[in-house]
Amino acid sequence: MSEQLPTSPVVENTVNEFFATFERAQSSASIDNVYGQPITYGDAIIVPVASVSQFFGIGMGVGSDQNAARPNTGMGGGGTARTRARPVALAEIMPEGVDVHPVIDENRALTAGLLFAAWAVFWAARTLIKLFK
Amino acid sequence: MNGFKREIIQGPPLPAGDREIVPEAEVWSFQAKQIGLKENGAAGGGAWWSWSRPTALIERGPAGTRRVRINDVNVQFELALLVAAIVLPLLLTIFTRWANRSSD
Repeated sequence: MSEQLPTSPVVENTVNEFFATFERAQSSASIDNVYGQPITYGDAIIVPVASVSQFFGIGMGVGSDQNAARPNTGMGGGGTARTRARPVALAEIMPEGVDVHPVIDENRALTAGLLFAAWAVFWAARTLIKLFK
Repeated sequence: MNGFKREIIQGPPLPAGDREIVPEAEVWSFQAKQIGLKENGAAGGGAWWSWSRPTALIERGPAGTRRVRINDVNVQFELALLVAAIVLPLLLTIFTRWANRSSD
């Protein structure tokens, strides 16, 4: 196996960085993304709460030819990434206890409701046509 | 390591008088990566995805421990509509067949 390992430092560094990228991504999914900085408001402490999704994809290639007449190294790569945070609730920590106030995304609820309404109208119409034809 | 992973993580406790509040979250993650090594080069690629959602606030105090669940009402509403969207055609199909048989 050892004879297959990269001998060029450029290749070795690139491979190390490739794996380090995934380790950094894994550690970035921390609880600090979900719970925001506490805000003191009178006697209460308000903590914003969110749902967070993250994605990235990468591809890369590196080559080195040290035995050629003119030693050369080439590398290339590309990637994409996306992070999306959506508010879920506000947690209110009071001296009497903890209260959670949900955050309602009206646009999202309306979109889902309209899609469902269209689906229900389609099936109701289909049923009526089948019943009376 | 490639594949899915689920873990429950807890944050540092927030002091609130004689109590402390521990935030808790659930993290789903997936990663797939592959790299090919040769003596004079390497090529590879991969993807990583994660979804972190709050689950509860754990309240620890002199009176004991209480778990305050955090529900995502938006997701609950969408799931309810999704279930209704699956059940509605089934019910209407059953109703149509029953009505057609009754009229025969």
